[in-house]
Amino acid sequence: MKHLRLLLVLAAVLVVLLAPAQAQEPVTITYWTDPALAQPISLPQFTELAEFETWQAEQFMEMHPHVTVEVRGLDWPDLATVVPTALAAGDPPDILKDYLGRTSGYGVEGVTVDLFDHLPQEDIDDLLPGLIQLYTIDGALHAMPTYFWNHAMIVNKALFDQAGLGDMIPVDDRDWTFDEFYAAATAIKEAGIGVDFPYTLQVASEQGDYDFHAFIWGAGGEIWNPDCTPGFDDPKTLAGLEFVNTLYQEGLINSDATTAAYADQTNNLFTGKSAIMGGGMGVLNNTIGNAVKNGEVTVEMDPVIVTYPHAEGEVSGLGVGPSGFAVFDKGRSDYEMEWIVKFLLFLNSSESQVTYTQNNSQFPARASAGVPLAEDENYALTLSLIQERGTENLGLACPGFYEVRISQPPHWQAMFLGQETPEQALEALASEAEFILDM
Amino acid sequence: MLKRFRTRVWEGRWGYIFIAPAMIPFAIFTAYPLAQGLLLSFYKAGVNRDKWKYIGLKNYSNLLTRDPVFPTAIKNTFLFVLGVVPAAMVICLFVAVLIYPLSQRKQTFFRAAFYMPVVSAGVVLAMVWVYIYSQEYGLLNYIFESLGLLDLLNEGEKIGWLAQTNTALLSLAIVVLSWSLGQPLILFLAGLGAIPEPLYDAAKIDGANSWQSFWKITLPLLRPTMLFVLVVLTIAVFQVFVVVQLMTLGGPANATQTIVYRIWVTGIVGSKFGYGSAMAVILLSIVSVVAIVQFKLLDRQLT
Repeated sequence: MKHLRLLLVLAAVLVVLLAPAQAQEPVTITYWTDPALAQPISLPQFTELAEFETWQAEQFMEMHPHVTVEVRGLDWPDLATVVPTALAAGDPPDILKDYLGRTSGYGVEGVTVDLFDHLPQEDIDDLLPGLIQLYTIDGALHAMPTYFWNHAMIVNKALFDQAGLGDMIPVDDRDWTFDEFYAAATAIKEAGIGVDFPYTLQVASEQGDYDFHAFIWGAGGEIWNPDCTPGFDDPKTLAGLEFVNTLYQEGLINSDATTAAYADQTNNLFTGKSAIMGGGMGVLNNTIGNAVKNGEVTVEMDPVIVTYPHAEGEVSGLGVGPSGFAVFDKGRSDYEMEWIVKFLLFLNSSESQVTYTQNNSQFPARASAGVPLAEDENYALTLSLIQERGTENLGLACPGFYEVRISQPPHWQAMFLGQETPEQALEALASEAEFILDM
Repeated sequence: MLKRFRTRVWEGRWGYIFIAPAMIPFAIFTAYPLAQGLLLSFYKAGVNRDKWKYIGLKNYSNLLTRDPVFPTAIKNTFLFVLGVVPAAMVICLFVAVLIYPLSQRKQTFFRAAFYMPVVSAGVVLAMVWVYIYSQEYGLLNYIFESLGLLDLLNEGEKIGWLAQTNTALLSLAIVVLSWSLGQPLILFLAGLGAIPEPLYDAAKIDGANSWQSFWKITLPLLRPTMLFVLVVLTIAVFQVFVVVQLMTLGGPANATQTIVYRIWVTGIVGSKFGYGSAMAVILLSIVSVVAIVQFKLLDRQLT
C-alpha cells in the first residue's frame, strides 16, 4: 500500500513537471529558401529544390514537436518576383534565405525585423564584422548573414600551355594588369587552337554584371560610391568601361555577349572556344567540377583562379556577395518570435554554416565555423587573396541597388553594338539612376 | 424610379441568375483587380504596404516625360502589332482558302498542324526558337551558310539574329507570328463553312472566276469573322511577353522591350507596384482605343 502511495505521488509530480512542456502552444513557421543548396555536392541524397532544407526542418520539428515548419524552395528568378508580391499581398514567409542584393531592398523598405533586438549577443559577436556592417541598414540588422561567395577569374591554363603561352598566366601572384591580360587574350586567340573568344561574358541580364563590373573596379572606378551614390560619373569608371569595350570590339569577348546566357558562357569554356571566364570557388568546384565529372568538357581543363586585371597603380580586389536569413515583420507575438529566432539560429548555427559552405564552396559568416574547406588549396588561396587585396564595393545594401542593377545591361549592350559610346552609356545610366532613386 | 428599377430587376431575375456563374468570377477575378490596378496607379506603392502614398498623377507624368525606356516599349509594341497582326490575318486567310476545299481528313491535319503551337508550352517553343536563332550553333545560320546567303548578307559572318538590334525585333515577331496562326485559321475555316454554297454556284453561272468569287463573295461574307480575329489578335499581340522574357529579356539595348515586359520588370521585379499599374492602365487605354477604332471601321463596312 505504501509503495502504491509512493508511486501515485511520483506520478503526480511527473504530471506537474511535464505539464508546461505539454502546454506549449503550437507554432507554424514558414521558411522560404533560395536554390543555392538544391544539389549539395557532399549530400547526394538531396537532388531537388528545398529537399535539403525540408530535411533540416524535419530535424528541428523532431526536437520541438509543437513547431511546424513549412518549407518552400524558390528558383533564382522567382526570388525576385514571388517574395515582393507576397510582401505586397501581406503574406510573406517568416524566414527567407536569399542574397543580400535582394534582402537589402526589404531592409530599406522596413519590412524586416531588426535582428539586433532578437539575436543573442554571442551570436552577433560570432559574425564577421564586415558582414554585420553590410547587413546593418538604418541601424537595424535586417538579416543574419550565413555565407558569402567570391568573384575572380578562372583561366583554363591547359589551353595556354597547349599554345606554349602558359607563362602569360600569373600563377605566381595571381595578379595581372590590363596590358598583361590583353596580351594574353590576344596571344591565345591568335595561337590557332580554336579559342575564338578568349574571355567569355554575358551582358544579356544583370546576372553577368560582376564579370563586367570587375573591369571597372580594376580601373579604380565604381558602380556605387561608398556613400551609396552611383559612380557612373567617375573618370576611372569610364576608363574601365573603355577597356572592356575594346576587348569586345577586338573579338576577345564572345560576339553574342549581348544575348548569351550563363549556359552559353560555360559552354564556351567547356568546349575551348573560350579560355577565361569569371567565377570563384563555386564555379571552380561545382560548375566546372560537375561538368568534368559528367563528361561535358571536351578540352583539357586545368582551371586556375586569378584576380581580375587592373590598371597600372590600381589594386584589383575581389567581389564578394553574401547571403543571409531575413525575418519578415508579420506582427508575430513574442512567443512566436522566440521560436522563429530559435529556428533561425538552428538554420544558421556554426555546424550548419560548415555544411552549407562545404556544399556550395562559399565562405562562412561565423568566425566559429572556421575554414571548412581548408584542405582545398584554391579555397585557402582565395581567402589569402581577399585578405591581401580586400573586397570590392558592390553596393549591395544601397537603396535602389536592384533597380539600378537591372537598368545597366541595355547600356552595356548598346555600347558593345556600337550604338552608344562608353561616355554616352555612362551618361545615360547616371540619368537613369537619378530617375530610379528619385521615384 | 426605384420602384421601376426593382420591377425591372424582378422581371429579369432569371436572366441575372443564369449569367451569375459567369459574372461572379468576372467580378472577382477581372473587374475587381482592374479597379484595384487603376487605384494603385495613383500611389507610390512598394513592398511595404504601410508606406504606400497617394501621389496623384505623378506615375503617369514620370512615365510619359521621364522614363527613358517606356517610349521605346510603346514603339516596339506597336511595331509588333503592325507587323504580326496583318501578316497573321493574310497568312491565315490564304491558308484557310487553300485548305477549305480539301477533304475533311486533310483539313484536320492542317488544322492540327497550325494549332499545335497554340497548345504547346511556350517555354519549349521559345527554347527551340532560341536554338534556331543561335549565332554559333543555330539552324538558321546553318541553312543560310549552306545556301551561301551569309556571304551575301553579312560578309560570310554568322548573324546574331537575337544579338543585333536591327534583327532582334523582327526575329521575335516571326516567333509570335508562328504562335498566332492556329486560332485565326480555325475561325476562318469555320467562317468559310458558313458561306452558302449556292452563292458560288450562281457566281460561276454568271461567269465569275475564282479570284472574283473570292473578292465579291468570300471576303465580304468573312468580314464578321475577320473583325473578331482582328480584335482578338490585336489584343493578344499587344500583350506580347513570353517570347521577350524567354528569348531576349528586352534586349539587346532595349530593342525588344514591350509594354507588358516593362510592367513585369518595373512593377513586379522592381517592386514598383504603383508605377507598374500606371503602365498597365496606359496599355489598357491604348488597346481599348485601338479595338474601338477597329470595331468602328469594320462595323461600318458590315452594315
